[in-house]
Amino acid sequence: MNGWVAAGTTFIASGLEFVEAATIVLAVGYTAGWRVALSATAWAIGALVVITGLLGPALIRWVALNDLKIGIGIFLTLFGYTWLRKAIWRYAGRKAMRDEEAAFEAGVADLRKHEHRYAFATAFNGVLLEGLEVAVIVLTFSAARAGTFLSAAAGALAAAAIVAGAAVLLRHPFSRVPENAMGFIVGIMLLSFGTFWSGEGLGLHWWQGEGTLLWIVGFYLACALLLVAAWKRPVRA
Amino acid sequence: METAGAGVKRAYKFIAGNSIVTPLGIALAIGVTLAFRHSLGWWAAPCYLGILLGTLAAATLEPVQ
Repeated sequence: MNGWVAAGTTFIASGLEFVEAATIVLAVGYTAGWRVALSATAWAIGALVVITGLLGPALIRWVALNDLKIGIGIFLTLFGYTWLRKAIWRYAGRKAMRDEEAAFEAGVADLRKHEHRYAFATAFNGVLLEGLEVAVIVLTFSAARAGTFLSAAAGALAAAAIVAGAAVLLRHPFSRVPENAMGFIVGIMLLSFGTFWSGEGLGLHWWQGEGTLLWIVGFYLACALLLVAAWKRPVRA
Repeated sequence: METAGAGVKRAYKFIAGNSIVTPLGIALAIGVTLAFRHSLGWWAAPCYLGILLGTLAAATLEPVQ
């Protein structure tokens, strides 16, 4: 189960990050030219490959498995809280839904005020930062469970291929991606894995072994749905 | 050049989404587990999960960012 779950989670999480990166690259491409946009993207991907290549083996080689599980668990839990909290706020109407069309227009307007070097830096930073989140998720999944690297990396690569293909075909920001629903699911999955692994690292005995992961997913899902419902209620004066 | 403080701020936003509650909740869950794991026995795992679920609820009370 772990391989498929890891691939699915990294696929959705990476898809969301790549959609945001593609919006930035498209904005740079339209205003400063495709050469700048694509060369900045290539440099950022190169930097990501170096960071992942150095960090991944170092983590697995020098850190004890239990310490790794605690560290990775905390990291994923923090990431999960950030994603899920944002999705809860959006579903409850407390935060505006992300609009890729508006982000694209704002990016284009901002880029028109600056020179080419700024455009390169914008595309490079955008791809690097969004990609870094993907790299962290893939690395943490593969470090905490042996044999999940290929599944996690395959999920991220599949998402990258689909988003890049769609960006080339459409040459337009992706306004129809259900970003909030995807963020909600990813938040729950990251939180669940983070909780499970950090608990294992701390020496907790989950009541149904690996099967407890499903219970944890269910508890977080129920809690998140209750919170959306609670925040939607009008406040009494 | 970005100052060290600004770099830490960016990293904090990247990892914890500028939340104060979530790192505190995780620290509380880990502290309680380490201190009472043996005395809680079977209940240690549900207790750990319960604190983290409570942290999620508390985190949504923070100002929207």
